[in-house]
Amino acid sequence: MPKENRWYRKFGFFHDPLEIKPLKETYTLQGRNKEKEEILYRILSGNLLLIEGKPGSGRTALLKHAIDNFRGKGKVVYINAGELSKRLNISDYIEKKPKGMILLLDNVQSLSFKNNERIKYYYDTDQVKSAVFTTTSQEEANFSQALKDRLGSSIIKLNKLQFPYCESIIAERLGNKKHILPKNVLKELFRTSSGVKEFLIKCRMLCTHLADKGKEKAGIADARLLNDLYDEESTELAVEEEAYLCNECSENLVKVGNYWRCPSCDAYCLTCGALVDEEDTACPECGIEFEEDEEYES
Amino acid sequence: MKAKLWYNELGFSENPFTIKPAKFSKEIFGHKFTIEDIISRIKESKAILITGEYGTGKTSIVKKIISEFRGKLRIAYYNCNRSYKTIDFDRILRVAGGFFHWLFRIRKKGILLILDEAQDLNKKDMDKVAEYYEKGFFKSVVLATKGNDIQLTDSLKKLVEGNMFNITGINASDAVRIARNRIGSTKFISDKLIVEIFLRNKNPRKFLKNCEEVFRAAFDQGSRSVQKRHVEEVLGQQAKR
Repeated sequence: MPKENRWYRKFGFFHDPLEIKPLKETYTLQGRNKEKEEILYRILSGNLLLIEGKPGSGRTALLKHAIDNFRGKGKVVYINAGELSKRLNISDYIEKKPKGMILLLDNVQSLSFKNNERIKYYYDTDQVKSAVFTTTSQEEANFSQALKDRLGSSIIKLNKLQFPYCESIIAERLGNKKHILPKNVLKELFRTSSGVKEFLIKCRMLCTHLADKGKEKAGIADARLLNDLYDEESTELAVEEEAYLCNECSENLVKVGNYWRCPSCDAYCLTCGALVDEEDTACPECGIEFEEDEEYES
Repeated sequence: MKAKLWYNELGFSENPFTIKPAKFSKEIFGHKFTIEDIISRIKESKAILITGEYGTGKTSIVKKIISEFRGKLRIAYYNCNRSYKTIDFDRILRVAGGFFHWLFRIRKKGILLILDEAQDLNKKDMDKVAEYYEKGFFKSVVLATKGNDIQLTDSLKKLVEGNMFNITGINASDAVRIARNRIGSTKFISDKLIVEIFLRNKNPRKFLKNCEEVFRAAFDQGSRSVQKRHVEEVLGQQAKR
């Protein structure tokens, strides 16, 4: 679709105000005052911090807040572990960076046990001053007991954002056009969404719908219609969101166990997804024995 | 919107209760006799195994040993969880010898090898350590590992036999000295309350973490010094979690 016909151009915006990519947007983080304070304190005092939350609950937005705060002052490194592939050794990555860096590691659940141990080592030797991890749940992250010990009680659990904050997100983004989405419509959309991301996606879909119909203002009936439609479309959206590409051959990665693997570049165990050696006869993580040329791909 | 941090207000530029073993390792409290024993055995060129639970101070002891032998011996410190498959001991020996050893690929003899996190060593490496030790490349070997369940190969087991040290916790007076070494003689907290925090969790690392949380809570509430209610508020919560 040409950019001139996009919904936001019709409403008089030049850029999409309901952008859902947290690293791209430049709006202030609404609500979460306690969490904001906590993340800045843990980074400054040289601690580890784990942020737990469902996908789309605002984990990356919180990291973005930290990036914005230390921009130009500290040595902040943001890594999305979900995008790292192959048998990457994270030491190669960290040793190139200056000493005393602040490591923000998104989606730590897709990082291997061994790499987490390496991060622990760099934390101990002060190469990494402080680290913030995000994950869906603590159990899914491959943390050793020693790393959990270092984390201690510094864990943030992200709950669903309160409605007033969601309302102010929309108010900030739409500015003087916020009458497009009245309060009762927002409330209806908020009631049925699980996190901030889903809420924003729904708002955007509703705006697209309004632009198509040439309406100026959304009614409660539109919101209800959207909620019914959303369930059918949500499966499609989920696939679109979770597609990662391989860094080397840009093929779609597949999810095996807890890891994302490239079928053509990586050699991995088909049951748990751990990386294996071509000479290995058994998987180092789950211990399953391979048959000749069948149990792993290379 | 720069938040005031408790340690800045108390006059520290950095967090005094950091749990990183690299800092504050010049002075160690609590394991005095163990350390003296280890140092004398290193001088006798023996292989040593240090075991201990998480956060009891194995790495701190190792750092203390390094500072003790600095300038007297060539030391190679290697943390085993950095390695991917096997450890290249030849490279360690060449690098430990300095520039000319590295340049002409000569392996230095008589170095002190310190292997941290030795539970990640594989069998091949263990045999190699024993082999090189017997050939005289290593004057002494110090292995630090967690827990007591490390599975050594027979050759290495023979070497460390009789030279095993188990690091246990510290006692209350050591805990007070550790805390005082870091925060000085400030009146912000009394010795009695330091002991009170220590009794909640006797693990040295947990103790430091708990101290940090208590200090932070006391400062956030705006009080002039740490009170017993702060300790109960913060650490009582932790017990429930």
